[in-house]
Amino acid sequence: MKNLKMKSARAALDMSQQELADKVGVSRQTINAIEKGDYNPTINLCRSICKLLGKTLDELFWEDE
Amino acid sequence: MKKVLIRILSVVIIILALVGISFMTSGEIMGDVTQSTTVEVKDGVASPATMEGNSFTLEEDGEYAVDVKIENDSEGLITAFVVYDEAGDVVFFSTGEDLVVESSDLKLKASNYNTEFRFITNEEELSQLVTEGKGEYYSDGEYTFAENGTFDVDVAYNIKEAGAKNIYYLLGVICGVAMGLVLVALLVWITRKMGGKVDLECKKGAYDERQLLARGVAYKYAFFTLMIGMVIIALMEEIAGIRLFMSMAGVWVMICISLAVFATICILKDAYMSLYENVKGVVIMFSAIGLLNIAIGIGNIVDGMPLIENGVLSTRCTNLLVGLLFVYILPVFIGRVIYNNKQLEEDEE
Repeated sequence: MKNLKMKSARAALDMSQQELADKVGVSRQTINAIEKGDYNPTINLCRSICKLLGKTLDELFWEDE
Repeated sequence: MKKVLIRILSVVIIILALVGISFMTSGEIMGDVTQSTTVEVKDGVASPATMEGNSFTLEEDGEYAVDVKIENDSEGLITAFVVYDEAGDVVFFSTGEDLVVESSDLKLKASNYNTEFRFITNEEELSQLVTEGKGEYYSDGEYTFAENGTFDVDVAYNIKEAGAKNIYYLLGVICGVAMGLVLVALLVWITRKMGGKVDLECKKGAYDERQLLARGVAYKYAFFTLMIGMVIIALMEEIAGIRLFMSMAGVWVMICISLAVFATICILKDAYMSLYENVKGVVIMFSAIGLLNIAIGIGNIVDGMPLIENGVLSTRCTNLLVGLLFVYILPVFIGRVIYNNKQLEEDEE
């Protein structure tokens, strides 16, 4: 399932996939895979992304009912 | 600076250790012996007719191999190289005008042995040598002997334990490896000067968690490819008697195939390039290594070095194999980069 919440949070900060990837220390393809729902990140990576985007884990990674 | 010094020192220590190991494992009974003589042929009679070689003593029974190299400056004279045991029985012979021969493994007893060269100037002598079991017909028996002339004959030979390599061969391999390391260091330097990023040191954290998972899967498939390939090569020899891949080069074929499997999976899963590398660096390195190996491989073919020796793939084709591997990987990598860029453009829109 696509992670549109993460994509919109990133877009809201006017940040490209590459910029976010560089800041959290992963490849751009990994950020792309997370946003597309092709890869489930570890909790550590989720925390790093949340901190950078100024969101909580729930806001970005918790599925709505 | 300190880091660079440690690396250089490590390489020097490794090379010195390899040199030491090669001296210990060369298994030579008699080091390379070189002899030269001038043979005068007058009315079909050679003078001298023979040349005594060196004697050697084997301390214990075992399997041994004989290397012989004979060079003749002009056509019309055949040289026979014969090894006799103490009783005067022939244990090895080889006959030719110009030849480079390594015997198959000979089972020899602990004893004294003598070597001798005989210069054959006519069909009758050759026939007699064959009858005595000290030679073989050369070039299917069709050979034109020179009636008169002067021939400079250079010979080199050595006796070693079976399976052991000549010390110069081992030193050559070590020099080749050292040269390869220097070449790679040079390539990395050039690539970095051109703005490319390459990471041969596999720095800590070079791959992110998704890439590590993908690389694990790629390693698994490459490992099974290598294992299955080795079994196939062994079965080909056991069942069908096909020995083509029963050599170090055959092992290289399988290594290249499994590396191709590993690289393909990594590239398709975007896990090939580490976080410390960029497309430019990888493309420059791959192109340079691929082209260099193909050039050396083609050079070997042009020089007339056989790709197949005694029915098995020769180590001479190793460069060609590595070159072909990179020729395969490079377009897959570039294709994936183009696909990714297109995807990114669509996603950003």
